[in-house]
Amino acid sequence: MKEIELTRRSFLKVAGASAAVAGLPFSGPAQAAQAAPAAGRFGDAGAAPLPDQVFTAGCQWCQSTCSMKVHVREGRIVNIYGNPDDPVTEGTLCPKGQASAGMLYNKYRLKSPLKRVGPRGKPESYQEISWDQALTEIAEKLKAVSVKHGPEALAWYVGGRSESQARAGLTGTFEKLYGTPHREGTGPFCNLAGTTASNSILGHNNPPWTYTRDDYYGADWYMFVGSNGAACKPVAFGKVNDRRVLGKAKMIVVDPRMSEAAGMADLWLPVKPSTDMALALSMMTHIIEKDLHNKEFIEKKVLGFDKLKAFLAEKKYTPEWAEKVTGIPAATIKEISEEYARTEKAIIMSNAGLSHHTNGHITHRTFYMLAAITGHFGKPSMGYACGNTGATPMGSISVPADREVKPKRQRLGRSPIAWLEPMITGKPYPIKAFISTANPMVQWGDIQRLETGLDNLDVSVYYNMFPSAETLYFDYILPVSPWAESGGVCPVSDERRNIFVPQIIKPLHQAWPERWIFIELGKKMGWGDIFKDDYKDPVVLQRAMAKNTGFSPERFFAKKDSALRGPLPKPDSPEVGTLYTEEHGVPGKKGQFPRPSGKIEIWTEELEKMYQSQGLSPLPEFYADPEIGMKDGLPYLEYLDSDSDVGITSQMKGIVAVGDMRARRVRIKYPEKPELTGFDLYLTSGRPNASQFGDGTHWMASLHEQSPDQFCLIHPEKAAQIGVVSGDTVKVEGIKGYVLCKAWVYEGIRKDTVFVPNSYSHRQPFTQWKSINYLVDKDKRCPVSDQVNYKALVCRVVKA
Amino acid sequence: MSQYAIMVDLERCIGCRSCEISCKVENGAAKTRTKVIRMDPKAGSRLSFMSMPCMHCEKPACRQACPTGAIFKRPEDGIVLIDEGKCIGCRYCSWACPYGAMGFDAERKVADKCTYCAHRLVRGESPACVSKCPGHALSFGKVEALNIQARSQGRSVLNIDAGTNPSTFYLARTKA
Repeated sequence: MKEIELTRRSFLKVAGASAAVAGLPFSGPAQAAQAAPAAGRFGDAGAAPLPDQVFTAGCQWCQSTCSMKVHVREGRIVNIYGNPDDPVTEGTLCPKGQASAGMLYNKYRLKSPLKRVGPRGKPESYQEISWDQALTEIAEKLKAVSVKHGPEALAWYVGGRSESQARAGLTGTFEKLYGTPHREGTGPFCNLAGTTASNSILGHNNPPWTYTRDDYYGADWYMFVGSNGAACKPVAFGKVNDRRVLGKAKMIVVDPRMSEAAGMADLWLPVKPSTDMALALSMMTHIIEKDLHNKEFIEKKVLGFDKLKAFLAEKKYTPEWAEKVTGIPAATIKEISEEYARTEKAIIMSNAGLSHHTNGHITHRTFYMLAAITGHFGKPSMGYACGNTGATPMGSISVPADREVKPKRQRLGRSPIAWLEPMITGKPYPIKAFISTANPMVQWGDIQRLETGLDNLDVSVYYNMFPSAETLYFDYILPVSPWAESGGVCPVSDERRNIFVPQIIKPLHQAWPERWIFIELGKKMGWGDIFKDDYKDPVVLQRAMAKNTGFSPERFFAKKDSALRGPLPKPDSPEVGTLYTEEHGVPGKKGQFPRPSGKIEIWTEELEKMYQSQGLSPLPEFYADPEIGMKDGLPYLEYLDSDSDVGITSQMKGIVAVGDMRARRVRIKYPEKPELTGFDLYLTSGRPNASQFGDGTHWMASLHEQSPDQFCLIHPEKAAQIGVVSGDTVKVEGIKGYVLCKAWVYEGIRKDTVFVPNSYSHRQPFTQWKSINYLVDKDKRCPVSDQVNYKALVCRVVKA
Repeated sequence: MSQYAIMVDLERCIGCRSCEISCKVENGAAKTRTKVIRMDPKAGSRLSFMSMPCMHCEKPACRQACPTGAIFKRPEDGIVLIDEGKCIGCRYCSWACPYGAMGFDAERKVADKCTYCAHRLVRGESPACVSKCPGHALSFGKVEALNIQARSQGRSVLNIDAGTNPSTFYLARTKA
């Protein structure tokens, strides 16, 4: 007993002394580290040990690309902290990045290459094989597909959250040597609608702002539309919210449900799913009517304003019209329009909530127009943009001109979903080989159709970390070493930031980094002179890829956050902050706004021709998603071409087209009356909370336990009507089928809408829920961006 | 004694639950020492969140309930700690705590709770959850200084006292 007392006293003495030494700041150096008491006595038994090495790395999950301090002791990652020297995060981190060690030291990981030797859908059909056998067989099959069906028959879905050098760089080199036009990332499932809209009106993909105190965090007025930043980019949202709490900014959130972000906002506007465009249209109409548009800015920097003004008047897109369409009161629309037009430092930001629709591209374009006619471009702390609109060029491993194989047939659409029917029907020409990462069997919608598609292929290859649904269907399964095992460049942030991650620990099990896999496969294809063994070192590869740009490893390492913000078109290009300023425009491109005219282009003859070719207009003609339009008698798209048709060749060069690419023609239908009955609810989806990012995070116990079950947010009145209380299992039935989830009776959602999160699947380790994407119609896509409509469906909910 | 405290701002807590994970990364994955309570909107109120570590009370109910005297309050800074050498794993403390802050380490068979990261304080660092909070909703320091900070921003403090005079305290939402 005495001994215990003594121990405790000595502990207290040490603790008291060091607290005095440390004085005021708690972020001070660890000067008293040596004096720490023996661990294990007073609740510190499980405390992470002090590191013997600390690495600066980046997080690979969302588009905030946070800089992190990775603590390593005896070769093992023991802790992850924020980086106080990172001006974006200022040392903070959301749940995902700091749980990254749990992603690596994870018992569920794929451990060795597998080959399917039996029927699909059964774990016992898979046999472990060596890397040499796997890559030799895959290469032979890929060569055979090229000979038999042409190189265009290979399709490669490269995903979006893995290291960039391999994902965006080496697969591009592979694509050119093989000769297929079919390589795509997750853009068409994320925010390509925003990317293409930005290209079409500003002439470049990136948002104007940077996530820093002098720019994005410095505005006086924020409106978030279809963007739950509190869950999807907590670090950036937290800073904006902090500004609001200090009384320096107003925040408005437009979302059918009271999301975490909407719960913080000064004003929550529960918009009807699929109709955000109507809000922007009516805001413009009101601003023009009140003569609050910025005439000087328009005169100098905007083309096509007169056309827009006449169009809005002709269509009568007034606040009163918008009230009927969106459910937001006309008086509120008028009030926020006037506030917005009168506030110089005002930011409107959107995200997948606007992109995941058949009207995604044109909705984003409309919000860009709203910001343009009010003069909200050209200075820090203003503008409109969608998050996650893509990278800036970092360089690549070039292919000699005589070795590059140019595709002879046009690319089949922009979305990987466009590959699916050609796999099955062989029309307009067949896809016969499919390489994929990410989660097409959860993400793509019409999942059974993909199963059929896989049956028709000569070879299918899946590479990833966890035994997700795909690992029971593809022919070859390859285990990947991600992030700290791989090293390389993190996926780009919303605001053009890249972080270099050093190789911190050795790859575990028999897994290898994507970089290693693609180099070995390239060698087996006979391209060893280009896919060099030296490039297995991420620093060597970065030096080679970035030799003509500013993304050299040395420049990354010189920064305390290991981050570089593009565009850096030349080795000595300086990093610039706000884009589209008179001073900078966009580095490496011509003009303040790099459209052909150098101005913001709302309407030009060239744009008119491009959009007309597909039955559209560059002017913002409102239409809703098909199921919403049919239910409510609102205009919606009819599709004149299917994925098995030849269609037309896209005219959207520089906006969406990647070489020669098939585009679908559409027609806006104005129904005379509702055409669909039997479904009394709208269904929308999104992230369950900040802990999840697609399927991958559900494989980590500490993250999954923060969102264990697929749920259905339903308004109390609706719940009472169908006799459901929170926790009941309910069946959400749509046109394409049904899924089960747990009811969550929630006052903060429109009475006519339910929300079901989208990251669950039937093949996750802790809980199994059939994905809500089973209700998605894969053919209902945005005619410009090719994005599928995930977020505005109809449904009914019954007790299961 | 000058009491340490965490000040939790409900107007800044965005419900990301970073605090829960930073605690697990710092103190062991199996532990649940802090949690975020979600308060859904009721009758027109707004969605709010509340990060709940140990309250490090002035009169800790856990200490009073402990039959072996294993729970003590550090005189110099008021942090409530458990002496695992004395803890017999009876869990009376868990039952007594009105804030649900007392957990249990099933592997070591001892009571387990938030220490305000006492092992980090010794190194001059703040609690892990505070250091990483994306919403800047958590502040750590001496309770008097934190109160001055709250008052200077014109903020009111929620009364959550269940008779133990908790040290962790909460700034109320600024409107309903």
